[in-house]
Amino acid sequence: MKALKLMAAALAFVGATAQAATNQEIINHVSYNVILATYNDLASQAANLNAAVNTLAANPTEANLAKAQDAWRATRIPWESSEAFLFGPVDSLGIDPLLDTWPLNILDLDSVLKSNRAITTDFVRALGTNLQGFHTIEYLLFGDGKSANTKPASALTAKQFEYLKATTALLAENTAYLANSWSKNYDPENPSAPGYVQVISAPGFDNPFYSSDRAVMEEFVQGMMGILDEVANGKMSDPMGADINSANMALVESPFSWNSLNDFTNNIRSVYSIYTGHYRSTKGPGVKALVERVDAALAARVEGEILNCMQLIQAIRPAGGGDFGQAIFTHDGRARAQKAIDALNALHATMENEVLPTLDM
Amino acid sequence: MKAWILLSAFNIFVGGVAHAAPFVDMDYVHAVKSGGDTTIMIKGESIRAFRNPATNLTEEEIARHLTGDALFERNFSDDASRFDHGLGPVFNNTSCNACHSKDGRGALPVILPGQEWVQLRQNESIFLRISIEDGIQRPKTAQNRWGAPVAVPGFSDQLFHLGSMGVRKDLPGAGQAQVWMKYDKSTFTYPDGSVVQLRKPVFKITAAYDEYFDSVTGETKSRLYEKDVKTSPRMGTPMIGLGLLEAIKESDILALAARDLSAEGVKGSVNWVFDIEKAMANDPYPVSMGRFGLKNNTPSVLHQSLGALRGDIGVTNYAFPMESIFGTALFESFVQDPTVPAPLEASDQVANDLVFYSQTLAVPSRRNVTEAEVIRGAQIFHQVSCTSCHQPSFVTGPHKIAAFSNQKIYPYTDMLLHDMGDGLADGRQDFDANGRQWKTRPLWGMGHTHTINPRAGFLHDGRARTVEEAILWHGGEGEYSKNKFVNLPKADRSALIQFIRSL
Repeated sequence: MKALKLMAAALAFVGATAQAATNQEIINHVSYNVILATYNDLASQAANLNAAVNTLAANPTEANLAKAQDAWRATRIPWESSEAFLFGPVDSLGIDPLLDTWPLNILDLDSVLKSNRAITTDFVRALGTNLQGFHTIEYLLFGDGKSANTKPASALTAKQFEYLKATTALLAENTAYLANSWSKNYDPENPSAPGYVQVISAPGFDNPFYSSDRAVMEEFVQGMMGILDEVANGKMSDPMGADINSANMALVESPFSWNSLNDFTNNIRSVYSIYTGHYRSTKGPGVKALVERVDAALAARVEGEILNCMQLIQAIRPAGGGDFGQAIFTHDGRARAQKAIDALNALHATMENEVLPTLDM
Repeated sequence: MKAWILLSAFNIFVGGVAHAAPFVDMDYVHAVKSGGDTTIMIKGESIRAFRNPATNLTEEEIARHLTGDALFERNFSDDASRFDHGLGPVFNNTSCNACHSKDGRGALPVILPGQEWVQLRQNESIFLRISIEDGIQRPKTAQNRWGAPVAVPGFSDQLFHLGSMGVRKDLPGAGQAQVWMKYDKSTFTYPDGSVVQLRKPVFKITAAYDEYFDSVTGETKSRLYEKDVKTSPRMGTPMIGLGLLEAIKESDILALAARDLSAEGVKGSVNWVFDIEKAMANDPYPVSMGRFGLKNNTPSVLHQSLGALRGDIGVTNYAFPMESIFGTALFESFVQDPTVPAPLEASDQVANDLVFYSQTLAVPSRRNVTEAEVIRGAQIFHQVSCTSCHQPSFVTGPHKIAAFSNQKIYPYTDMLLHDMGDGLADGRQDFDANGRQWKTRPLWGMGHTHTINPRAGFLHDGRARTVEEAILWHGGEGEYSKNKFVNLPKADRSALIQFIRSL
């Protein structure tokens, strides 16, 4: 059966050779136009956020607070849209925990804010990863998220502004460092090391990271599987707990801004980008092009499943307002969340059992 | 054709070194399933190569592994009102995953161009062991904690550079002291003229919590700065196949220790170490064969994992119920009443799930085993006697997790301590391990190291950026093989490295 299907696909492929993207074209497009482009967007949004926070600190009006909050949400998009490819420097340079450790350590943050110490970037740099990055900024800009996802600008103290400025400056610094590691130099201790984009887009037996184009394709597929699993069985399942009585708000990611469902959607958007090669306005071959060579119906079905998962995640949003952290405390919200989890797990199984094997066909 | 080549290679090698080396099963040259039936089959490379459960676990065991997986990534908090409470008061990191990133090797902190010293902060995969010693080995008694390193008074046997807020009023976020690192750089020149740059991290300690200025001598003093204090760095190691290593029969390891490899200058010895499980069972002599830790200073995955949970992260548990710094001035200044015992921070379920996870990570299969260069490299591996210490295979004995019992495995370690020479010496005893000895690292999974973490470092302190650098640091009992390696033609050296990358 499989052989037959393969043969039919091979025939279809022969017919379509002229347009079909090669593995190398897919790898190039995804590496440069999806991954590198996402990191460049992240660095530029983080710089905007830093500027918006400085403006807010200088002039703490409601309008400037709203702009800083928008800038935080905008920076969150490329970061969450990068989670299908958490390989390379984001990990080896230890950048991921500096940007996105959660839960935030509110106890320690409050104790620092109560102290008389001058808060500088170097001071915050020396603190734990759970006292810096996205969620520290989120807590300071949006409040505790319990009954609302914003707070009056007047609630921000001078000490909180100091901390905000320091930690957003670090976020901008770390994201610029990450973008540079992909574009220019993946190992700052070795100035002749190229950008990681050059490494991953040129696999081969002597490439110390990826010995073949198949290996890079596998990394892409495994990366998609990794975030599908994490959203379903970590980010969503952990806070939901076994039943409504064991639901735990403390386990929700981005609980202060009520941005969780957008985070999860963007996580799956990163799967979509790797799969289709579409990122923002850019279109090009992604992993789908490879699957198409083997089984065009499967290729289209997977794309549909990805889009469906994104819709199911957005559908969790409570009609009366709130976000994931509120939905998991209602029976119908939990039912909608479970539907999304089931779809994510089904897509994970499709990736593992049907997409991954196409790499060897 | 292939069978013929293998057979002749086998004959040449076994015949050639039979006087020195005992039987090495040459089937390793072609063996694919490094972890026997537990092996996860991986064709390419990916950062998830070390993240899979052993494939022959039961469904129930896989569920338990996945529960442990989430705990391994948990960021512990020092906030007593939180579910994930337990961090600190002093620690080296906030999660298991932070040092064993994606269950692989750690990397040294980045030193940016123009910097000399860099401070160890959170998010590093390295810490320092510390102890005081006089160089005298004593019989193991309860009084000397069965031969354990002697804690530095006022400190512990591990230096905690991070602390909860409030531990150090003067330095928020700092622990017992601050730790700094820089590199000593050197070069190695092959007989054929090729040059390799080497680097070795050196550490300095500042801002110890008990530091004071001695106006008589004009020096800044701390018990930690005294000359009898020994320090030794430890880098996070891969988490794969640990249950299998635990299942290797003690008799097989003792047999390897009893070999006569004097012609190669190789000895190999066992570290007999304190065993917390025996102690909990009231065994009058709680000492067992060491298997884990870079000096084999712990006997089991349970002892190693729960010791690290309490030590590295500061989360007390049933095996290690007291905070690491219990009884020190720093602890007493931090807690309200040090005489009131605190409740355990990790539930027994959390502790046991973490141990189970640590035992059950799969070893990936080998790749590229049919490449001619890889096959040649495998044969050179034996020819230059790497196999004397990096023992290719074992058949495991019984293990309480049935999946690990009676498996033919290819870990490439003899599980023994070896004198590795001056270059790697740390000068610090650890039970029976002296300041020049290290355990033979298992080589399985090596080829995935840099995909998982492009900056990962080999050896106990992560100094070696490549397999080649790691080989060049071999001295002492490794000198014989290293010399044979460096005298090989360049093509043969790269074939050997390609073989190691196939693991």
